[in-house]
Amino acid sequence: MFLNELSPISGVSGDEKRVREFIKKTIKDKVDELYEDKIGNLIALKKSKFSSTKGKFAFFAHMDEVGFMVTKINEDGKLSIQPIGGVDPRLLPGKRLRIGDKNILGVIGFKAIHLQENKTDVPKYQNLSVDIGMGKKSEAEKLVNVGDYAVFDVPFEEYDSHLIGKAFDDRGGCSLMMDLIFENLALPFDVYFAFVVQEEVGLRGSGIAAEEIKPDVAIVLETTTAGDNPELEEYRWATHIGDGPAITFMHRGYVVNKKVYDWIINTAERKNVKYQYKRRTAGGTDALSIAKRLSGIPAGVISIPCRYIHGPSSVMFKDDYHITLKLLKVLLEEGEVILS
Amino acid sequence: MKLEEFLKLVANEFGPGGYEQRVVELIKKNISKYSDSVKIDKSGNLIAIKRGNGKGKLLLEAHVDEIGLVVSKIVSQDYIRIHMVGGVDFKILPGQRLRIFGRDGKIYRGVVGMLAPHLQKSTERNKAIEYDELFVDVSMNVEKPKIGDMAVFDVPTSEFGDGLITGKALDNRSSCAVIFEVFKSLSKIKHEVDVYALFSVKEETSGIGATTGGYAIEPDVAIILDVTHADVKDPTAPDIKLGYGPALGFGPTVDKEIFSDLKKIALDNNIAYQLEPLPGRSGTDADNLQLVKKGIKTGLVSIPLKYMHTPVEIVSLKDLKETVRLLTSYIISLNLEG
Repeated sequence: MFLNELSPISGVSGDEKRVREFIKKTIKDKVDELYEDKIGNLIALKKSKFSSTKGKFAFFAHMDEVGFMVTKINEDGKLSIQPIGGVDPRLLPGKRLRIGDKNILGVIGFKAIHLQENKTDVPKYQNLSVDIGMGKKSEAEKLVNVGDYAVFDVPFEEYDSHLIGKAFDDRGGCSLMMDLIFENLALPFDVYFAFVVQEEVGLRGSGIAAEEIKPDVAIVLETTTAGDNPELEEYRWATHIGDGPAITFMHRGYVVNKKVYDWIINTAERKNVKYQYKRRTAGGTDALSIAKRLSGIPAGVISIPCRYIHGPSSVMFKDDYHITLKLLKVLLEEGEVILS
Repeated sequence: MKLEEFLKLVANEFGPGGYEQRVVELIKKNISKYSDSVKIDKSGNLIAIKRGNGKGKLLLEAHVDEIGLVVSKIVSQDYIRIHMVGGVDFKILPGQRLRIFGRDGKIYRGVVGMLAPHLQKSTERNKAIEYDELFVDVSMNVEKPKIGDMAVFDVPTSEFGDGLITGKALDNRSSCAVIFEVFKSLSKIKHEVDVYALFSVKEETSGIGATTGGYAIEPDVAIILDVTHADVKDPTAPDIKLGYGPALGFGPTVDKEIFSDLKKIALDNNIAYQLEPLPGRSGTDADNLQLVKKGIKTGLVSIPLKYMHTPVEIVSLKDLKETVRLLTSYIISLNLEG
């Protein structure tokens, strides 16, 4: 698992270079081909050892995470920010950020409780600002620039059974792909691994990678919302932790290719790998943009369930990760079915 | 140990009201070598004494407790509910990581949960999440916290910006660090009065420690050290800024003579200071200490602080150092004999 190294790296949509460089450096000796495309996707190929293979298979996971951009440096030295991707502003008060290439510390203060007139006013981006400890605009400008990216400043933590950190969506998927690359499996066909950019701002990177790879079948590896908390009635949960990977039958804009979906479910059943259904159709993944490419690439979606994604402290159950990895391995072993 | 190192050390320690033992022990360990005597009283207050020539008793007081959270309900193996100990704004909690200190001596991890936007209904988005709806994920602990266990924010204390420090519990560990530094300098300076340091407990919940500690010490003069709101954008708020020196409080709970003495000392020694008018009560231990026994003459010196009671409070190291200079100069000037 590489999540311990991937999670702390800053890599908001459009600024994935550090994530890409880490992955590139780590996998370069383990793959047969490795290149970066025009838009910043990193594409790796593991060739099959068999001479006659039936086609090309591809995994996709996105490198980018949600975060922020500095939109203004104010006269009092504080920064205005806007979100990149969906970050609930209610998560921001009292948090620390790391800003720009110099990793400048900034804190999102909040009016002291003693001084608040209306304690239930909801925090909004318009009335939040980032304090970098500089009292004037001219001083702040020495440390940060308008357009700098920012992420939550939080450590990765590993416990016996759980992991805590930021950016699990979708460094979890990236880590799964890196694990598959390191497994050195006896692949029955060529497998591409696409580490893609700009998912959080509208599924923008994956289509380009699909165009480059031209896979016969694609599987998108995601980290998805678990709703299992005491404030949400069970009927509203999309997934929950503890029951293995979530398999998507449909999400926003895309009904998963029937053949691919059946193949995933049937393989999991036959090989006795625990799985759950993703039980809501809200939210989208790169499968939509991949399915639109070429004359329509059959794409499936497999996700690690995870609590509090898009926040500073996501919680993942390690078993879910490992069972997902196991499912991917048996799918590769059984992959001939889908490519024939 | 340097002032900023000591501040980081004590700010990182756990000590909500009623559970200050760890902080008290930590300060005791470090201040002993600069004191003639140290003891912990029945209430849990730490009292350190640095003797002068017995010409009066000066008390320097700072509360050691911080705001915190208490485990109020066990929901399941994975989840607990919490409530505040002292004033903690529920709006700063979602996504926060907590260190939960079990009364069994174990330290647990908690994560304040927040439903991802993907599953939120539009009607839920425009609502602050209050204590009744907040939940803390404790799934990652093999053993689980219990009702009554106390929690604090798990954030580092960092130096940043223009000589600033950010972290939790700078209210009021900043004042504790100032007194520590004053004691350090007193070990090299001749002074007439006996100086008592009272690191008191339970201010954030009611101010019990200052009252009981003051009762035992019965000082001639007491200076309360606390923090005050800086850079408040409210037209009626006092103009107190970070980095412009300690704020000298004045109003009904502050002795006029002590206030003017402190101000004169600051002017004579070129020490930066600001003024904090306090109509009514001050909201600090000065309010309690002034009424101990037959009344105690109290002064109030406050360190400017931003974002009070959040995990990202900010103080200026310069303000702390100026406060140390002010108090040290004041002590040297003081002779309360007769």
